[in-house]
Amino acid sequence: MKSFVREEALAAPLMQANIDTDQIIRMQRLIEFPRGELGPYCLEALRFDEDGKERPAFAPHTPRYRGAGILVAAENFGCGSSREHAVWALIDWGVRAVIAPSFGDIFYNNSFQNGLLPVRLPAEEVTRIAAELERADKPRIAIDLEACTVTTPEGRVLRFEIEPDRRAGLLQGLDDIDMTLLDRALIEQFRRDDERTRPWIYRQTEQAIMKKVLILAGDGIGPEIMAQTRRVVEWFMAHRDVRMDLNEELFGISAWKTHGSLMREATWKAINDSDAILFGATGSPEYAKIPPEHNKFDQLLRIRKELDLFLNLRPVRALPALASASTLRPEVLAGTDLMLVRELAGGVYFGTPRGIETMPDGQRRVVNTMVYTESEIARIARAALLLARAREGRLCSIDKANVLENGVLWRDVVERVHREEFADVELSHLYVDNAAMQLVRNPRQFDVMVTENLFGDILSDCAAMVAGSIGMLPSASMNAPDSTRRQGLYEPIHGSAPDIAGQGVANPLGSILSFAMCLRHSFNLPQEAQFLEDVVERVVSAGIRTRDIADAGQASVSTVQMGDAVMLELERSAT
Amino acid sequence: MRVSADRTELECTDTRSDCLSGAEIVLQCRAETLLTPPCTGYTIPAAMGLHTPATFFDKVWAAHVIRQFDDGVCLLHVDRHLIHDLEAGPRLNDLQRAGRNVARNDLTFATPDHALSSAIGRSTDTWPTGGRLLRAMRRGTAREGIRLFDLGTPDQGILHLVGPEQGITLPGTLLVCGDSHTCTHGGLGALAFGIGSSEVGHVLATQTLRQRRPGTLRLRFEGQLGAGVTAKDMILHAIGRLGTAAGRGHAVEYAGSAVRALAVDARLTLCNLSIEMGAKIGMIAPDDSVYEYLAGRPFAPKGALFDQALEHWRGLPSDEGALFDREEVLDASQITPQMTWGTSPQDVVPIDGYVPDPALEKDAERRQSIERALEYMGLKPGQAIAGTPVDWVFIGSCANSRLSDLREAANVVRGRQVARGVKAWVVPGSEQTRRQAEAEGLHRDFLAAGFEWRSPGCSLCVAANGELIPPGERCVSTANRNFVGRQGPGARTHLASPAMAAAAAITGQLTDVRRLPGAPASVNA
Ligand code: SF4
Repeated sequence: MKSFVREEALAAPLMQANIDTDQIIRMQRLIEFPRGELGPYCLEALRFDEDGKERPAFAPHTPRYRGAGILVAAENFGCGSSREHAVWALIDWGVRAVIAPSFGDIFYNNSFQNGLLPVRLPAEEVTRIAAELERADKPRIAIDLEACTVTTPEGRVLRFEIEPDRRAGLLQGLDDIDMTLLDRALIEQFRRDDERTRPWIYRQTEQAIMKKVLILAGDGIGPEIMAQTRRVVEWFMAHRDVRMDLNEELFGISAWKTHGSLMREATWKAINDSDAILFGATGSPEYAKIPPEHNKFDQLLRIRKELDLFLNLRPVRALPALASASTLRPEVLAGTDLMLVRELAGGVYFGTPRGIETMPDGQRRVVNTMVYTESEIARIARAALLLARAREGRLCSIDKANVLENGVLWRDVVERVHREEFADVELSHLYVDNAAMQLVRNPRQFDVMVTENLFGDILSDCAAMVAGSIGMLPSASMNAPDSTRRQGLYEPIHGSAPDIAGQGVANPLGSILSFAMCLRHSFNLPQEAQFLEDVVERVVSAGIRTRDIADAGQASVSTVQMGDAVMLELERSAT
Repeated sequence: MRVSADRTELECTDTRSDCLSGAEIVLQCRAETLLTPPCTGYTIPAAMGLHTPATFFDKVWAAHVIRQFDDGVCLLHVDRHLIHDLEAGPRLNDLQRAGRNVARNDLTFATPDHALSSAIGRSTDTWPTGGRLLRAMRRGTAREGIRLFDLGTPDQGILHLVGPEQGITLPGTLLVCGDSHTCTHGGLGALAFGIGSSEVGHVLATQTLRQRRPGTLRLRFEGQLGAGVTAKDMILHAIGRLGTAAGRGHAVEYAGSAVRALAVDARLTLCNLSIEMGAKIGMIAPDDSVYEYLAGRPFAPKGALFDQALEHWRGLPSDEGALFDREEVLDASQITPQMTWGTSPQDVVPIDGYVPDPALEKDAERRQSIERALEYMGLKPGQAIAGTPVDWVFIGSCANSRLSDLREAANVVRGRQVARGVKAWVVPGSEQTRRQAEAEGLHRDFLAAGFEWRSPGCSLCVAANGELIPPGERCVSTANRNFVGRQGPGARTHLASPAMAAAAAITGQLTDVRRLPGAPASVNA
């Protein structure tokens, strides 16, 4: 809100009593135009005749007064219905203050919420000021809120009365919300005390529900980036009222080396019990050395399958600061903000029969099977449509219906769910080949994209280039919510990067941003998520870069230094 | 008594003069209450400088004061904030524009109700204006992590039904919503009131509200209600007697034997029309029927926490000897089924009564207002209200669309037919109510009689969803407002109970439900 200290401005007389909020702005205009665009319709009925022509008798429109920033009005200005839009309309029209003998109560209050100063002066003074305006060379008035004075065109200085609170707020440009937030500490103290006396106001069960969060750092650069993420998590626990039960388990090669098993029972139990898993990375040449009977399957795939993490979210946003890290032209990237929804529990990755076999003629043959049931398609479609509804309201579904029956059923089910439950969302379809092209050609066109597992795998890497570096991209994988909880696994989309593991140069931001997703989806704390995302963006914009996102010739920082930078920015932003 | 920034440092001393200043700071207590012993021992009110005997209202108010400003305005903590489709999108967008976030998304609940088509099989855009609002509501609530009982989900409904049904509304909570009928929730013992648009923004951003403490008014209904007389008749009768300004600036506590005898649904109806009596707040001290009602509801406390809450709730009712700024007593046994005749809820008469004759009115202003009302309503001075032909019947709204209301109406309708030429709608207030009613087969009674059985929302109560009563047509409505144009330009509204509305549908005219042949002995059973 704009503060009001001193204004010297052209002033126009509008000496008509009882100008009500309906005259100031018509109901219909409120529906048609947003705040900020109401100026042309302010006092419409007084300014214009039925044909939309200016009324010559309307003083503020005469050349002498045109563009006035102060109105001098008769009694009961702003009476009538409580619409706050009346104040907005005046401000949009360029008015900073209104001088009148009296105001409608609600209008008066609303003025202070929006930076408009209502000045009350005795009726005869107001009439005199209006007369002075008529005969002055320059019809200008000065208002000094600090001194509480009005200086008339003829130089008379008049004092006015105003509530001290109101005056203080306007001088500082603080509305009621700002004023209340000055008492933030008091409010928080009240709430802490109240939560002890009346816990049922804040939760339904005796024990506050503590979310169980499990860290699995995994292989390669996983432990390095996760150490930095853990600092951030602990900062939120200490400073931001994010309550959780935080645990860590070994995963991957480190688990094998320590426990002699890739997945010991205790770890599996911790995984099953957790509400959220913060995952580092998996993959290492050392897996080849583990005897096959101990390395039957990919443990991450197993987690996904057993927890039924069918819903994979990959937000892609182009950060202006990283435009040069992308191979795409900046003007193609600018403004991209899309969400790729990938089906993660079905399709060719899990379908059977599968395998390589040797045929009678001695040559080998491979089979993979792309399987989807209607309900599997419907649930991912529903999740994507719900997400689109909460964003821009546009969903693009990707398939290969021109060649694969898989795509035919996919499209059919997506359309049915859309028709029956989400007709308000705008739905379009693309073939996957075209989608890949569109992603690099004009990524801005997308809001939410949904696709099956294999296509999603490919497209998400493609989309990663939009963001500049794969090191920056977070992801979330979730199952269907049951009555008590919904489990989520949060991981950066980059791999374990064995080539740089142990060098301390990996980028921890993808992992840290994955924790932001965890705050949003597992903790339902979108404000905190946004806060962390903004912090990361500020760090990157400040030019602090790990090697993968540094401009050519630019100095880069280590993994730990990047963690330091985020921590510092968190501290700085929190105060 | 000293109030410091830190609530844990509150102290209360024994000296009367200290108490006086302290009381003024915190509560503007009346001098009389200071004659009683100063606060000792543990109660929340005591910690806030409240002196026994205290009223129910004072106890709840005091427990929510974060600080008091010099001008007497208090900063209050908001326990529950409900937002509907007309406010949610615009206010959440304002918030985003101002770079702010919702302070407590876990204490904020949303559902669309006002601008929603009530047609069967409706969808987002059945009423396009509402569709735009609903989209903005979905985006805003998703962005902020606010729970939305969305269109097409099993818990959508009018907010004033959804709150109680979900156990969001609890005794002793301070609950607000950008809708004047928020006073409804007082039926469960909440301190609940409607707030304006900018206040909605303030609550979203801070989970607090600045308010001046109102006065207190106790309205007692003593005696037993007659057969066929409901909570709706009680409150219409009270408004007729006391006027639409009676409660201005006051929090009303409804009490007395007739109020204690009301079931929870009926208490919600009683409190619903507090605002029509001029009071932003109407409340009824909680008792066992409320606790039974709440047990097991999704957002109500569970297990040991419920017991802990219960102990607190039992301490809420007004203390013996508590003083109210004003007290009124009405004889419940004298109340008969009511019917409004004019364009204000206070324009009400018993169904066997007569429309006033302006010629007999001495006060010129009042005379003119009666003349205007009669002209608008198309009624003749002095005519009997019963027997007036009707075109429409609307059973719905947050005043009377709960299960018990639908049962009362169905009892009248069962086995009968809607009169020729009458259009009759039943709009259950919530999906949950609709399901329960359908499980009991009530919808079949209505449908068989020729009623439409529609989807939950405000519908014809406010005509904000494109559903209108045509100009000049006469509608008996179970809602709470009969203002000029409320149900559409030129529409003529008569407010009454669900049973009375049902009787009008069957007979095609304003009728005393008790005179229907074979009328049930008691429709409020
Ligand atoms: S039903 Fe009527 S009174 Fe109740 S909230 Fe809706 S519009 Fe308001």
